[in-house]
Order: sequence, then C-alpha cells, then structure tokens
Amino acid sequence: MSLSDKHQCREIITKAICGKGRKFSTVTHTVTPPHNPTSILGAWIINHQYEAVAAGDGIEVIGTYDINIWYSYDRNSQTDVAKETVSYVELVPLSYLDPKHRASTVEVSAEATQEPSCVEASVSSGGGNVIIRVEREFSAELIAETKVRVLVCGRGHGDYEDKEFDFIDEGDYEDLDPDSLDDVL
Amino acid sequence: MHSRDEAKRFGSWSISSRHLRLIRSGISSVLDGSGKRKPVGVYRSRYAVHVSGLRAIEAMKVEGEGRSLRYPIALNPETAGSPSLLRQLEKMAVRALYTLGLSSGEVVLVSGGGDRKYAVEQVTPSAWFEDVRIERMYSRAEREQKRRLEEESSHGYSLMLGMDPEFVLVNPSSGEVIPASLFLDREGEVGCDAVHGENGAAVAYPIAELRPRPSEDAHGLLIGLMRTLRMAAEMIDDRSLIWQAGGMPKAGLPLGGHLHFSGIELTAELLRTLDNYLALPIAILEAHGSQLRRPKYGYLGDFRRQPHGGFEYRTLPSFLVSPLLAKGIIYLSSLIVTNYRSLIRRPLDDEENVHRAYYQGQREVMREYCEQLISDIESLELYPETERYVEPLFRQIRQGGTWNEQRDIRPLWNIPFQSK
Repeated sequence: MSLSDKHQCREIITKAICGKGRKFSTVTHTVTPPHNPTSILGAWIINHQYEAVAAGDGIEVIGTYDINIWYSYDRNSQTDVAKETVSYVELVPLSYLDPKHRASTVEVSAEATQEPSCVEASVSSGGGNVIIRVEREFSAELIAETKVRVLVCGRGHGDYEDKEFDFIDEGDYEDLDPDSLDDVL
Repeated sequence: MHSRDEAKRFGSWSISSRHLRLIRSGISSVLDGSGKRKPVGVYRSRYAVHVSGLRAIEAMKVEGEGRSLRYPIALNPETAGSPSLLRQLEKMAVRALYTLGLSSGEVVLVSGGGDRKYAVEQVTPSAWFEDVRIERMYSRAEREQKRRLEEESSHGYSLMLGMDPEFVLVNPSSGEVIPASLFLDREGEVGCDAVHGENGAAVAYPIAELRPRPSEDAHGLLIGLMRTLRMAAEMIDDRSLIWQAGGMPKAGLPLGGHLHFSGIELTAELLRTLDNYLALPIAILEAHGSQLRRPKYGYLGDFRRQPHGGFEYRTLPSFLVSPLLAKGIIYLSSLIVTNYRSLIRRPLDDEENVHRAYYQGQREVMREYCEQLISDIESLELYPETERYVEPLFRQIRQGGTWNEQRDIRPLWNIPFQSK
C-alpha cells in the first residue's frame, strides 16, 4: 500500500497570511501658529507617508503627515497658513494570529483604509494654539511561513470518470413538511 | 412617487419634523440648527453626497465660508483615498434621504468631532437643483435605473430567495447566554455570527445563524430552513440549552431575520413596499423586547447589497420565534417582491404618526392602517396561492396577538429536545 492510500492528510509548509488586524482612531495634535489665531478657516492633512514594522504580537505603523491650518488673526483682519509635520506610531493589534507561523519568516504590510483627515480644529482655551482632531484607520497583515494541513487527492485525474458522487450529504430530511408545524404565534 | 412630488411633500414638513424623523430613525441630525450653537470659528469637516437609486453618485469635500469650496472625492472604492469613510458617508446619505421620503437628492454631513460621528446638516431634494451639471447628473442616473427596470419587465426576472435568521442558546437555570461558537463554526449553512463592539470590531460570536440555500420559491426556502434547524439540533449537542429567537430575547443581543433577494433590481420603492406591507404589519405582533432593538437595528429600509448582485432586507427581527410567523413572512415577502409595483400605499412615509408608532411600538396606531394594507395584498391575483400560509399571519394581526420570545422554539419546530 502506498503512502498516499494510508495518509490522505498531509502537512505542508506554505507562505500564508497568518495574522490580520484593523485599527481606527481619533487623535489630537496641537499646532502653534506664528500669530495668535482668531478663528480657524480650514485644516487639511497632506503628504501622508507610512510603513509597517513587526512589533511583538502586533504590527506598528510608523508615519508622518503635514498639518496645514488656514487661520485668521488680528481680529479677523489677516489670514495665514500654519504648517507642521507630525510623526506618529500606531500599534495595530492582530485580531487573530496563527500560532504555528515561523517567526523568522515574518513580513508585514499595512494599508490606510482611511487617510488621516482633520475632522475638527479649534483655538485652544489659552488662545495661542490650535487643537486639531484627526481620524485615521489602518488594516494590517502579517505574512509568514506556516504549516497547513491539507487533504491529498490519492488518485490520478481521470479515475473518477465512471463514478457518480453525492457531494452533498442531504441527510434524512425528506420528511420535512411546513404543514406539520402548528400555527401558533 | 415622482421626485417632484416627493420634494413637495418634503417641503411641506417643518424643519423640526424632518429633524425628529431622522433622530427617531437613529440618524444624527443638526437640521434644527443645533450644530450652529458650537463656538464660532471652529473648523469642522463636511461632505456633500448626491444620491440616486440608493447609491452615491457624487461625493464632495466641502470647505470655506458659506461652504462654497467643494472638491470631489473618488467614488470608486479602489481609487478612493479613504474607502471606509466613503462607505460610511454613502450609507448615511442614502439612509437620511430614504428616511425623509426622497429617492434622490444631496445630503451635507458634518463631523461631530471624531470617532466617525457625522450628523445630517442639510438635505436638498434633487428636484430643487437648478444647476445644469447637477440636473444632468441626476437624469443620467435615473435613465440608467429606468433602463434596468424596463429590461427587467420585458425579460422577466429569475428571483432567488434566501435568508439568515438568528437565535441564541440559553442556559434555562441560570438564564445565561451560551456562545453559539462553542458548537458551530463561523461559516456554513448553520454558523455563528459576531456581535460588534464600538468601532465595528468583532468581539464575540454568541449568536447562532441559519443560512439555508437560496431557493426559487417560498416553499423550497421554508424546507431549507427546516433542514438547517435539524442540522443545528445535531450540531448543538447540549440539549439542555433552550433556543430563543425574536427581536431581543436577551437584553443587549438584538436578533435579525434577514431576507435575501436576487434577480430583481433593488429600488427605493421596493424597500418602501417591504417596509409598509411587511415590516409595519409584523411590528404589531412583536413582543415588547423586540421594539427595544430599534433604532440601531430594525430601522426602516435597512438593506445591504450582496456580492451575488442581490440584496438583503434587514429590518425584520428573527422570525424563528414562531413557525406561523416564519411561514407567513417567507410567503408574504415573496408575494410582495414579485408584485411591488401594484402595492402603492405608503402610510409610513405619508403619516408622521405611523412612522412614530413604528419606532415607539404603538400597536394600536399601527393597526389602524393595517387593514388597508392587508386588503391590498388579499386582492393580488397570486394571493390565493399563498393564502394557506399568509392568512394565519393576517388573522393574528387582526386579533392583536404578540409573540413570546422567552420560550424555547425547538418544540414549535418539531426539533428533538430534552425537557428538564
């Protein structure tokens, strides 16, 4: 008897997605413009750049973006744009992690499913700063080699030609009849 | 209803009626001007979304004084900078317009300061726009939908029906919910479903879900449902646990009875027909607990498009709570979907008190309108074919019964159980 007749199940080693995670967050930054702002006319996030790195059981997204704030000062008589580059580190926890993955083969990737965007900007209570709220979201994947158990097809192709198979086990459900159920609410 | 008539009705409602209708339906709104009470000079992000045919046809970021500066954001999820934000804005805009009885128009959404909270700030029916570019955009979308509907009427459609009703497993002595994931996999005809936390992340899989194979007719789907109930009984080998269904048999665990349809064009009118002729009469029968899942769940016009090209109608609670209800709903929904063009009564859209009664569980108010809806169904040519299953449901609605969602559903479905 050949090996394949006895052992229809095999373990193979393959590269697979071994972990996935997603994180949405709202964060606050403080920007100090050169003039004391009277009011905020607009706030934008541009030049977002990021990369993913493995960090323990999670994935860290490390990135930077520029905050641009269009504001008025001198009692709304002047306007200017304040620019500041901020950097961040966001830890994206994994909602599942294959415990059999080979740690030495780990590669990680991340994608911004929501580009950082400013949802609110206001002048701080002291008057000199602008407090801005930024929403961002990342999904991250951990790819590594892992062991996967597969069912092995023991025969060569073409051996099934004269055979009929019931691929779905219908079970003993022929007696099902909606009229047999009582009409109670 | 023509979009000009819809706009006229919308225009006749006071701002506070529009605002209350949104709030009641679970949609944040600052239509009443409450958003302006925030300190002046604060910047908030805003988006304007044009909707037609239950889809966003244009989305813009809105900036500047008087909201005059607008720049488009890509609608294609592949090229959109923020696909998840776009999905959320589209869903909110579609839902707000639908709730306000409009089939097309623009919704301006304003940020609530973070955590993806947006509120409806302004709604403009498509009929009110005089800008040539915008008029053309709406006409194009309407022509496209009309073409698909004409194609459907000339070629006929091949309707497929499906469902995924839910139930929970309860320890009868402690009253505790036992996670369905102890017995069932996530996938398959009998599986379990997640309960989602604050940010949409799955936190647990406590709910059992039946996903019988789709069928071309109500009878086939019903047999499929009974089959999955038997399969579930074999997989859940702890027979001491009781099975409960309905809208919310356990506080905090809302259950749905979602119906799937494919092979038919999804339109706002089809959804409105399902709301008025199915969800409204069924709400009269619900246990008090079921009403508590609204408006977060069970809101009117709750739909989700499916990858198979069809859609899922998500407003109903889990009708596994009674075979009479399940049989009636399956046959009635199939009858409604195939005849929706001749079912034209819309109390939920025309009468503010019915809309309020649906969300507040005021049975008597809802019942006043049901007789007319039932008569419309009974006068359909195909009604006699379904009468055997639908009539018992109508009888209960007329008599004013309510279902009991605390009982074990197994004996009702002839599922083997071991009594204690």
